[in-house]
Formats: sequence, C-alpha cells, structure tokens
Amino acid sequence: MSGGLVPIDQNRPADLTQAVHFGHNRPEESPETPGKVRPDATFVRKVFNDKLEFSDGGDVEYWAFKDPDDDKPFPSTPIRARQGQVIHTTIETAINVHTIHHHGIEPSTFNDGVPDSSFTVGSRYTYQWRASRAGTFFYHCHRNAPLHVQMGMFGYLILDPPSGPGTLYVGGPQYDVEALWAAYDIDPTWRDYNHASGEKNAIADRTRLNRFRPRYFTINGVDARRSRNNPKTTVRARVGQRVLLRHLTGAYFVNVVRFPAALAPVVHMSDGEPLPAPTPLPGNRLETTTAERYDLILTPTAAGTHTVTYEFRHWLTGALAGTATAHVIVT
Amino acid sequence: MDATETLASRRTALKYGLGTAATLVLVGSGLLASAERAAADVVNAQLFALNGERVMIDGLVVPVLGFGSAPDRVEIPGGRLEVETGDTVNLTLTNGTGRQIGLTVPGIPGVPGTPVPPGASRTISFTAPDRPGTFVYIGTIDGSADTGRALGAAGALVVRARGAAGSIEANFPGALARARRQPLFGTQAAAIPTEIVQERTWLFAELNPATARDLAGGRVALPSDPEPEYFLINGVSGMLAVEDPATFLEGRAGGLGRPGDATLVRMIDTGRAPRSVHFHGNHFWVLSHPDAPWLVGAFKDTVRIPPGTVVDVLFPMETPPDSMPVVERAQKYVVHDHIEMAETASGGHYAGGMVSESVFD
Repeated sequence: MSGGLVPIDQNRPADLTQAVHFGHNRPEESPETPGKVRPDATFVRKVFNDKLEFSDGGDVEYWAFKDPDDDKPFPSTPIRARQGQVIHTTIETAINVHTIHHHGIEPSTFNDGVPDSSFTVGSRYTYQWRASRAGTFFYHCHRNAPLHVQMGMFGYLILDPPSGPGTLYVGGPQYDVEALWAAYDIDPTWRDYNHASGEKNAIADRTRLNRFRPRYFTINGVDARRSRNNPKTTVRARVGQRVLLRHLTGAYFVNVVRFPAALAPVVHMSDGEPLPAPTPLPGNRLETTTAERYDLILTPTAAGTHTVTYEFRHWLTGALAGTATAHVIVT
Repeated sequence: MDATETLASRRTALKYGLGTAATLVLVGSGLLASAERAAADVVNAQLFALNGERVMIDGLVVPVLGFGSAPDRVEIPGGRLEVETGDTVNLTLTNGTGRQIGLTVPGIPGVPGTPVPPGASRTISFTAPDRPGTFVYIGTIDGSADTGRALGAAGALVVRARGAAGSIEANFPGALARARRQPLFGTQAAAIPTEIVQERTWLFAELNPATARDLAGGRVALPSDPEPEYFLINGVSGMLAVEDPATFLEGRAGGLGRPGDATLVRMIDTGRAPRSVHFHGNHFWVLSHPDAPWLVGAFKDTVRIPPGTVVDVLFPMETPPDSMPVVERAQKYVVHDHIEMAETASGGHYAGGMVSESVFD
C-alpha cells in the first residue's frame, strides 16, 4: 500500500455570522476558582499604565501588570516560584478587562486565561495551577492579544527547582549570576488604539493590527544607547563565573541574537525543558521568534565589557529594522 | 454520502489508518475517485488547476487559483498527497485555467516543472525520496511559484516510511533517541510517546486581497509592500480553523505524564513570514527543524518555522500537567501563531487568523 490524494479542504459551507466574533463574544466574569485549595505561593498582579522613555527624547505609553507593592515596573513584575508548588495568581484588572495566560504552563482550560475557550476577567480572578516543570516561562494578557501584548502586558515567570535559585532544573547546571533579558519592539502608532480596537469591526474603526511597524527596539524597554550601565540590560560577573541568561522573545519581529565568542554561550533549556544535550550555540547566533525562551549559560573567558547584539528583522522581508544591546561586564 | 459521513470517514481514516494500512486503502479509495493505487509502489493521482473564489472569515470574497482533486471544484489547500519512500508518483495535472501551470516540490529533485498550457493535461512522474519527510507541492503560475503560493496553489506531500507509518523512529530517524523531558514536579518519571497514533498537516498561508486580485488578473510579480490581511491554516482561519476537522486536534487524553493519542503535526509555512507556533495544553517534541537541528528532540511549547520550510512536531495529548486539581472531563486549548499580527483578519477580529484548537477527550 502506498497512498494517494486526500482532500484537506472539504469546501464546507461556513456560517460566518458568529465566526468573526470568535474570541471576543465570550462572557466577562469574575468567578470563584473551581476546586480551590490552599496555595504554596500567591501572587497578585494589578493592571496599570505608564510611559517608557527613549534616548531620542520620545516616549510611549505602556500597559503592564505589577505587584501592588511594586512601583511602575517594565516589564511586568516577575512571578517566581518553585517546581511542585500550587500557585495562585490573582489578576486585578483595574483598567478595562483582561486575562493572564501563563505561557508554557498547562493548567485546566478554565485557568488558561484564553478568552476563546474560557472568559475575560471583569474585575478579579484567581488562577490556580501546579508547577510541574522548572524553567523560564512568561505570563501575558490573552485578550485582544496582538494589541495587549504589544502594549507591554507581559512579564517573566520563573520556576526554580525545589532546591531554589542557583540551579536551572533538577539535575541541571548551576549558575552564579542571572540575567533576564526580554527583547521587545515598539510601534508607537499602536498607542492610538483602545483596549478593544479591532475586536468588532477593524475596517470601520481603522485598526490595522496586521501592520506592525516598530520604531523602538529594546531589551526590557531600554534602547541601545541607554543600555550600557542600565541594570535592566547589564550584568556583572568575574572571569569563569557562570551567567545564566533567561532570554524571552517579546518582540513581534524576528530576533537574531549575536554573542561575542568570549561569552562561550551554551544553550541548556528552551521553553521550560532541557535540550537533548547542552549545546554550544552554533555560530554564537540565536534566531528566535515571539514567545520562545532560551536559557543559555555564558562563561566569560576574558575581562572586559562583552556586548550581546539583538537584531530585529522585518517579519515579512527579513530586512534588518533595528538593534538593541545588553552587556556582560567582566572583571 | 452526505457531508457529515464524509467527514466522519475521513477522520476515521486519519485516526486509525496509520496503524492499519488496509483501512486507509479501503476508506481512502472509496472516498476518493481521483486517487488510484495501481500497485504497491506506484501512486497515481490527479490534480486539476482551477480558478475560483474564497469567502474570507469576515465575508470578503477573494479570487484564488488552486488545485482540485476533481475537475469541478478548487480546493485550498490542494489535497494531501500521501506516498511512501521510493514510490513512483504519477500526477496527472489538468489545467483548467487560462495561465501556464507547472509544479515544483522544493527538496525533491527530479520533479518535471515544464508548465502545462491552458486546457491541456500532462502526467508528471517522479520518484519519492528514500528518506521520509514532509514536503509541499506548489503550482507555478506563468513560471512564478510566489504567485502560486499567494493564490493558494499549494498542498502537502507526505513521504512516509514504507510500511511503518506509525513509527517515530522510521519516519524521523534519531529524533526519538534524542527526545528528553524533566521529571514532573522534579520527582515523577514521565513518558515519551513511542508511536504516532494520528496525524495532521497544517499548511500556513498568507493572503492579501489586493495582491490576489492583481495576481489573478494576470500580474506575476508580487508587490513588496503590503502586509497580508488574512492568515490561513489549511485555507481557513479563526473559528473556521478551530472547527475544521482536517485542522483541529482531537484525541483521547493519556494520564499525567502519559501520552494519549499522540499526534504528529506536519507544519508547512508557505507564507513570507516565519511562524511562531504555540500550543496550549501540552508541550510537543520537535521531530524535524530545517535550520536548527539541535532542537530536534527538544520538548517545546513554541517553535519557529522559517518561511518556505517545514517543522514536524509530536503532540503527546497527555493530561495537562499543571492542572490543579487534575480535571477528568474534556478540555480544549488553543494553538496559534504567536507572531500576533498573524492572529488577525482584515486588521483585527482577534482571533480570526492562524488559530485552531486541541480537544482532549
């Protein structure tokens, strides 16, 4: 037996009356958490707005999540817990309606934070889940996600093994210094949209969420010219120390990350799971797209300032659109 | 056979045919007049190049030029051509359009690309590779494969290991040996699937209506500027892709750290942009990657697919491991391109783009 031609397209007549409302015709709720148990770790994340400023004097509005005691962070206040713990993440939507999706965490559908398959949160909801893995994850709003993620509604989610920080995962490598560097590109024109822009009739309200034309290229919201001594984009280590870089592609353009050979980058994990084997990064070059995470251990072999360059390449043409930088200062 | 029965039969073939070849032959040949199996190592099939129209998810009608498995209807994408390693493939291409239509299969040398003139018919013969894998056939329109891709003239070509469709090792040599995961909660050993229970092909395509009208009207060169307006999986988007039985995943869930109906998903990107495909509910093993072979065997939740290439993954369909409490009733999760522009339709309508679902029974 060999095979043949199997039609994929059934040419089924489609009822389009509801199809176009998929994803934003869902209830807006603040329900009780099903099967709520006593958590091992709790986090509250409240929605807020602020501005990011750049070296050219420009600024843009951003929306993000923060711990109520935090000031106005960017990216959102990280969530950090341990593998095996039962975790409660409470969203206080505060401004408009939102969700939290814990990206890479695989909870029940009800706790997945996806409007299409559950609900948006009107005022408050406690997501309940148990951390099966250790590794690098992130959390973000999944309502009108093209806009809400671009506006900045994301933050790191780090799960340490039961032994705590300093080891990547059970049986995995140890590290001395840690860097959380999230690539993020910004289209200022998207700041003219409101929370629901494009949800109902994109053509009528002139929303173009397929047209992403970023002007700022950043790591953690910091552009290249301001990156050198900024704690968001610089870590310090001694020769021979192991620097764990938890990379997150928050950009919508394609990232090509170039490491100096003196940092000897080795990839250990991606998306919260160990690679088949620790892999010296081929060509010291990492190509990555939105929402991927890579955990690399950098072991600087020489003193000096070693700069990691993040290229942002046009999603359709591949042309270089801009660069951002981050630094390992080695003494 | 009404539409419902057709769908049910197809899904049965897809789900069970892999383990039992005879089922696939019976159901498949009963269903598909265009596909004949003359001998064990010869696959004959017919493709009809046709003009047509498609209604996008917001109601816009867009011209297409694609392949049908019968002369009376265009299909977007073209049918999945299933062969085994080393098969002789005889594809009879009948050109029902007014353009010169040829065929190209990137990665398979020796496929004659000579165009078929309007109204003519020609049999294109080639030998399937000795190595199994996922490929795409693309119609060239007046010599341009880019035009073919932009108008919908593309379909999957699946080359399976001879007599071993369900074997991960036979179809993706070395991938299973590399596969790795950490113990659940740091302590509990968890399994890795050993065979393919069912499979899907996802053909990702972008569509810009203005470009499509130009190209359908005779232009060949693609304009360089415009962002696509529609982002399609297997020719549909948004809720239509969520409800498309050729696209969404459905299967029996295993247990915590135990695979259920492990599903091979062959993801083909025919667009200009890469894809960054994220599955909710389960991680997946990367079985093939075109430019980062070091990712083969990694258990990821999001994977980059460079434009014009294929990434094959295995979705275990295990109980979502972070559930608290573990839920016994059916669960469903979205899967989507995380390059968020591709989740839109005509500039918004999130999630009206490249999105589908996995349903855990």
